[in-house]
Amino acid sequence: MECSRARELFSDHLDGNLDPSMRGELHDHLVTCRACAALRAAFGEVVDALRTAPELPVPLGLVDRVIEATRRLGKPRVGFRPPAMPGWMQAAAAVVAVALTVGALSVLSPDTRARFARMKQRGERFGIYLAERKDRTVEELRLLRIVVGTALEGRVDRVNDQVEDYRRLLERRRAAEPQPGADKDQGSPRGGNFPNFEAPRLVDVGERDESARATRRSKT
Amino acid sequence: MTEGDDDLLDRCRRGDELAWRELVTRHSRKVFGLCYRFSGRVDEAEDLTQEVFLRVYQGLDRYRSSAGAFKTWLMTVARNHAIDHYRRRREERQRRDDSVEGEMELLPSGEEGPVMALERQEQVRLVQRGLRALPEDLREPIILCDLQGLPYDEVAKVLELPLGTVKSRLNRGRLELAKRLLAKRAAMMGRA
Repeated sequence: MECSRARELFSDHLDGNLDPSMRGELHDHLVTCRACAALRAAFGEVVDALRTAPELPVPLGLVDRVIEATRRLGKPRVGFRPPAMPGWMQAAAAVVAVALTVGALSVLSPDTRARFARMKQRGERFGIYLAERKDRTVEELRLLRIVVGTALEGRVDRVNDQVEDYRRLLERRRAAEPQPGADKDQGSPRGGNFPNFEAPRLVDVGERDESARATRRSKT
Repeated sequence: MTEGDDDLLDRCRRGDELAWRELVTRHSRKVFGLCYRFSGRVDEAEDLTQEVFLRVYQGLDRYRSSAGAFKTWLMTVARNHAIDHYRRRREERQRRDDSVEGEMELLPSGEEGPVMALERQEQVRLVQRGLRALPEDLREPIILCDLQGLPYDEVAKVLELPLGTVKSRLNRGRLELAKRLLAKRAAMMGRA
């Protein structure tokens, strides 16, 4: 690990937010690099001094000056405020709404009710599909944000390190996840099987480069 | 029994000056501390504190206790006001960054021995001076996170920055302070 990379990790190290492998790499570096070890120790002292800095006393007469200034404003402006609905009234309104919905459904024809049931089922499956896709999209956005954020801060040379760390984290997470096939065998609705939606595949950067190289080779 | 903030606020809205005085006395230390961290000067921090309480007084009808504690609302108003002021006075501040005029003396904690308290005071003073000399973009997250105790996501919201940028700036700012602390110590040892 390089010194600059080690120093970028100090805050996460201090907060205990590093995963074990990264923490191990940092510890190894600190054992061998005296400059970084000294800086890490001073880093901890600085944060401790900031977090435990004593509160400042209020200067004498400040409260009086504030009161005098507000006295000149006169009474505070108080506009109309609609009264808040009490909790019991909100609960009663919810019960009435549910009762009305159930009542309306019960007078519908069996055909309409079956259509509602199908719509409800599709809605549930769509919800599950969205929840699963959201996780992947969030991961991809995080990766993008790391790359863009690092590049914007003028540290383009650090982008590869950041991406590499994040990719390793994703790989470890993926390895820890259960296989999708196992879910399907148990009849679980999970597995991204919502009809008419092709689940996008998270393409590994290395895998994509390899496939691009293979395409170029086949063309030549 | 101490009266709660919400009860005092109700009395304030009815024009009770004693209730308002009690609220100001109760929260002025936090507000003044925040303003001082941003301005670095006692006189400016006093003016800012006064302006914050005037704003709050004028906006009492906008505060809803259902949306959160009064203290949280007050500190949000104070933070926004202090940050606005800090950014407006950027150029003037840069000119007098080397000056320590108007610097506040820190009170030693009663729990430490005299030698330890002095060492600690010196360390805190070094860090505070280093903080004042930091560039604005590195200084703001440190004030909000380390001095005011806001969580990272709250700091990102206040500064309207992505969470990753806040963490990165915080790390760079702390690193800069650590380097200054080490350099200062090395210089002191060289003199001794």
